[in-house]
Amino acid sequence: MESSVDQRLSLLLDGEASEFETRRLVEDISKNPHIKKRWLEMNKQKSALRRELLMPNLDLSSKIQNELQKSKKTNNKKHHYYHFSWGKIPYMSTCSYLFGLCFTLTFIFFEFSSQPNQSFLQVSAPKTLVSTINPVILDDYARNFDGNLRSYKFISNNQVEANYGIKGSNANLKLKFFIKDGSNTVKLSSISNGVTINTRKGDKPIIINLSSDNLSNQKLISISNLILE
Amino acid sequence: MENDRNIISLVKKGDVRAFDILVVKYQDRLVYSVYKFCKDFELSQDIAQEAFVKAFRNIDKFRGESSFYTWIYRIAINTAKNYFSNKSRGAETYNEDVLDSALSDLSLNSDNPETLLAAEEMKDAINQAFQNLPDEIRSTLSLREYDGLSYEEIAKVQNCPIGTVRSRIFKGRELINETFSKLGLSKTWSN
Repeated sequence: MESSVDQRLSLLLDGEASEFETRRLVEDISKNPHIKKRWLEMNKQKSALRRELLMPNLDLSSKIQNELQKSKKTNNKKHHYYHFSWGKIPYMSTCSYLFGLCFTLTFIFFEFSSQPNQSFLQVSAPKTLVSTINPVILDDYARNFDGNLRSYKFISNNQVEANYGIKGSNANLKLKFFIKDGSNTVKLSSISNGVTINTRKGDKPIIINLSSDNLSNQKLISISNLILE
Repeated sequence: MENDRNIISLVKKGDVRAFDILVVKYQDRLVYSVYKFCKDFELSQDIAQEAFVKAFRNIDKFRGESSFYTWIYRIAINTAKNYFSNKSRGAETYNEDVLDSALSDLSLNSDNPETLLAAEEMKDAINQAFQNLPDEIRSTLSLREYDGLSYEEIAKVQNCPIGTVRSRIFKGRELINETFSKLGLSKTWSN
């Protein structure tokens, strides 16, 4: 798992992480001190390699963050005390509307999450699957067909569903990954749409089902060929 | 050219955490570049810090025509110019020619002597570790770090899949990190 984090950071360091992966890493680095430390270390090593390291323990980030927070607070205070006007009533009504909308969505989401197999962007994936299919690999698949990973969810210990957008169009593509074992027989027989291929990830046989709301089967077959290549 | 497009689009939406990613990524390089012409370590840090704050506040003006580093480097140089113009004591150290040449030299390959031993030790160790890498890994990492090629460009140059480039670069960094850990150098910034 550690090396998977390093691998993701290495892509971020080179500006090669996708939009989706960048968002996740920003989140991870800001929340996890261990990942933040690794990110700092990797950058120090890069600077040393390029002979641009002046002081090994230099870290301006906390000073800069404080400076930005300070100016943010000052701006907010000014806003609060000196710039209130009745003209903001439409703004307040928009906020009230958004609050209501968030409340409704939270309620709907809660209803969904209480049902089995309906998790969204689940980060703590089942261990059996993590070693075979992790987000980096899901992201990698997108390179085969010039797509963007939008979301993924772990349906069970041996099934992942990933949703992609195709760059330059409004088309979407859904990939369902199954680790080939006995427990998947029932699920596999229920798949009636799209294109299904057999491939491998390392030494593990994997079945991938491709489906889309707006791509033809012919297009799905050509994408599946790219994945198989 | 570094590709920070995804991070910058988050910063433009006001994400301070995303901006912190850029700070960590470019702080050493920027302080080092500023130090090259002002020769004052504390001042280099202050100028770099101010440049980052200005960059965040004006991020909407960054249109991506140059790399983020080129943009912030120009901000830092202008900040330094203003500083020296406003301070009379700066007249003793400020050299317009040096600043102007720094502005036009964005390759930033320095041959300046360093005085800080820890940094020297680290640079030597890492370059030694780099030299000891297996040939294929070293050449791939070299194309990335010294020539600034993207993974796609490296794959074309080396005539191999992009996944191979990715894994070679990662492996190279892993091996360099091992050397660092063995020498206890990573403690320098973890303390």
